[in-house]
Order: sequence, then C-alpha cells, then structure tokens
Amino acid sequence: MDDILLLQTIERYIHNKMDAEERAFFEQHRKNVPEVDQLVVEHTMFLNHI
Amino acid sequence: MKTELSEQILLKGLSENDGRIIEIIYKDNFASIQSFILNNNGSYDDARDIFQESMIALYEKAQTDSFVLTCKINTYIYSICRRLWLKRLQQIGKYSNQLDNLEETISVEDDLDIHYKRDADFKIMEHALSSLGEPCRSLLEGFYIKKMDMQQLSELFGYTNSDNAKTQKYKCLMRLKKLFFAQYNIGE
Repeated sequence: MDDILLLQTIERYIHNKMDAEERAFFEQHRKNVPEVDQLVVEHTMFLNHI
Repeated sequence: MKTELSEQILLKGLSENDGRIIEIIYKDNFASIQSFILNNNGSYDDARDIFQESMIALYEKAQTDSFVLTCKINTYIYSICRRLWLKRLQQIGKYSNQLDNLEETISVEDDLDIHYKRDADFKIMEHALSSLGEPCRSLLEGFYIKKMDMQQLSELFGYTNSDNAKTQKYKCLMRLKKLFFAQYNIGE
C-alpha cells in the first residue's frame, strides 16, 4: 500500500492539488530522497504522454 | 484583411478545441491546400490527410506555453502542408523539386521535428496501452483520460470496493510504465 500511496501523493503534487504547507514538505522530501525525486521526474514525463 | 486580433482568437479557439473555430480555419485554408496537393501529384484524400496533420501540428503549437506564431495562420498551414507533402513524395519516390509557391512559405523544420517526435511518442503509448490488455487498459483510460475517480471506476468495473480497484489500477500502471519506457528508451 505504501507504493500506491506514494504514487497518489506524487500525482497530487504534479497536478498542483497540495496546499502550500504540504507542498513545501513534499519538496523537502524530494530533496532528501533521490528515489522519490526520480519517481516524480519519471511520472511527470509519463503523464505528459498518456 | 484579417486583423492580428482575429488571428489570436482563432488560435485560442483551436487550442481549446472549439469546433466552430476549427471549421473557420478549415474553410479559410483547405481549398488552397487541396489545389496545391492536386497540382503536385496528389489526390483529394492526400489533401485531407496532409491538411489534418497540419492542423494537429498547429494545435500542438497553440497549446505550448511559449507559443508565438511569427506569421499568419494561412502561411503557417501552407508551409507545414508543403513540407509534409514534399516528405510524402520523397517517401513514395515521386519527389519533384518544382513545387510551386516557395516564396509564400516560412521555415517549419523545427516545428515538424517536434510534431514527428510527439507522433512517435503517441504511437509508443498507444502500442503500450494495447499490449496491456483488458481490464487494465480501460481502467487506466478511465482514470487518466476520462478523469473518473476510484469510486466510479470501482462501480463501473464491478470491483467490490474502491481500494481493490485502486490496487489493481496501481498494478496496471506499473505494467504500462514498464512497457512504455522500454520502447521509449529504445526510440531515444
């Protein structure tokens, strides 16, 4: 379930559905965890093509 | 004479997929494209094909944030069609360098490169989606293209609850991404 939740969070982030506080928190999380950063980049690219 | 303002309105309408605007652009341009293609070894169907593709290229361009059209819409469509038709003639070995009206065109090579790239990417996605099989394909289309929520999808597909539908959607998405990026990376 954790992976599913992470993906859901990434999609909310990409679609600008986070409030400022959550967004700032998530951006910090991206900086700290390169794998999450990579997932965001990859998923953004993917969503641009679907 | 058309003002710059009405050109802007047309482009805005096109980027919003407004049927009336598309009709206007079609009426303003198709006849000249048709006569160009017919005069250069093509048929009515070729003209429709090429015109359609030029509209997609213009639509893609109108949708980008940094969009600036440095010429009139007519000139842009004519230039795209001319370039596309030249390429088509080369492919079928009927290339002639005597195409008319070169002076009325602008350089559209960069835009067409982007167009071809998008077209190729689209085909990769289409292929990945079709090799995914059902119900994965419809589930993902429902969520990402039709923008349905998990509750609606769960009811539509007959899952017992939306959490199960969500888990299934996630598994399908992982498979689709794998299929897509495998092809996409080869293409790069």
